Amino acid sequence: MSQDQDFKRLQQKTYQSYHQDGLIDIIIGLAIIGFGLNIAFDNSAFLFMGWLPIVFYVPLKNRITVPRIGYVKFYASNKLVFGLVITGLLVFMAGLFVFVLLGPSIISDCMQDWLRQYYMLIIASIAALCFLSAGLLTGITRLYVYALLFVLIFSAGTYLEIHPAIYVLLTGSLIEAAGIWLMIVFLRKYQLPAEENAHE
Amino acid sequence: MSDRDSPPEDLQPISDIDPLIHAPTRLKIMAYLSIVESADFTFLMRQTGLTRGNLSVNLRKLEEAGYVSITKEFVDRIPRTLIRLTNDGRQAIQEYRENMQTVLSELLRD
Repeated sequence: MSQDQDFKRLQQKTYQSYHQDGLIDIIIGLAIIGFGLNIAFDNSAFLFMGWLPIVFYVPLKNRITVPRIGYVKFYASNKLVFGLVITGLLVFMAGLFVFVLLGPSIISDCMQDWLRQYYMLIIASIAALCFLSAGLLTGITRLYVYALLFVLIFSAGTYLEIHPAIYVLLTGSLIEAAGIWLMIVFLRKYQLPAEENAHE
Repeated sequence: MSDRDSPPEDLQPISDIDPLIHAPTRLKIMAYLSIVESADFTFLMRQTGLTRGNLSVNLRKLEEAGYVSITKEFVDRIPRTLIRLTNDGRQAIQEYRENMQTVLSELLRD
C-alpha cells in the first residue's frame, strides 16, 4: 500500500502548496480576534465582524493566489469531510453555549459552576481538535502548532486567572501574525507572471 | 504478435506498462491530475516544474490519447485553462499503478 501512501502524501503536498499563502490563517486569526473583542466589550457585533472576512476568502484567493500559483479544485469528498468536521465542532460549541447560558434548570448548580469556570478550556480543546483534524486531513503542519497554541495559552490563562479576552486576543493575534508573515513570504516568492504569458 | 515477438513470461508485467504514462514528465502530470478534480495550466506548471512549452506538448499527447480533457473558461473575464483526467485517463493511471506494483513485487520475490 506504499503507492497509496505516496499518492496521499502527494495530495497533502498539493494542499500545502495551495494554502501556503496564509489566507486561511489571516481569516482564522480575524475570527478569533473578533471572538476576543466580543468577550472584552460584550458586543456580539465583533463576533460577526470577525467571521465577515470568510465571505472574501474566494475572491481574495482568486485575486492573490490563483494568478501566482494557479488554480486547483480538490475533490468534493475531501472538502465535505473537512467541512463536516468544522461544522460539527462549531455546532457542538454553539450547543455548549446554549446549554450553559439557557439551560440552568437542566444541569446541577455544581456542574454549572464547573462549566462557567472551565468553559474556555473546553473551547480550547474543541478548537485544538478542530485544528488537529484539519491538519491530519490536509497535511498542513502549522495547524498542529495552532492546536498546541490554543491548549497552552488557554490553559495558562485559566490557571493564572487572566481575563479570557486577553488570551483569546493573544491567540488570535499570533495566528494573524503568522498568516500575514506567510502572505508576505508568498508574495515575495511568487511574483505575478508577465501579462502576455499569464494564461495559457 | 508471433511467439518470437511476444515478451518472455517474466517480462509480461513490464510490457503491460503504458509507455505513454511511463515517461517521467507525463507521469508527473498524470499523478497530479489523479489527486485533484481539476487544475489549471499555471498550477500544473508550478507543481511539476515543467516549462510552459514542455507542459503544452505533453498535455497535447495525453489529450490525443484521451487521458485528459482541456477546457477553457472565463473567471472574472480572465481566461482559465482547466485540465482534468478523463475516465480513460483515470483508469490508465490506476492500471499503471497496479502494473508497477506487480513489477516491483515480482522483482522483490526474485
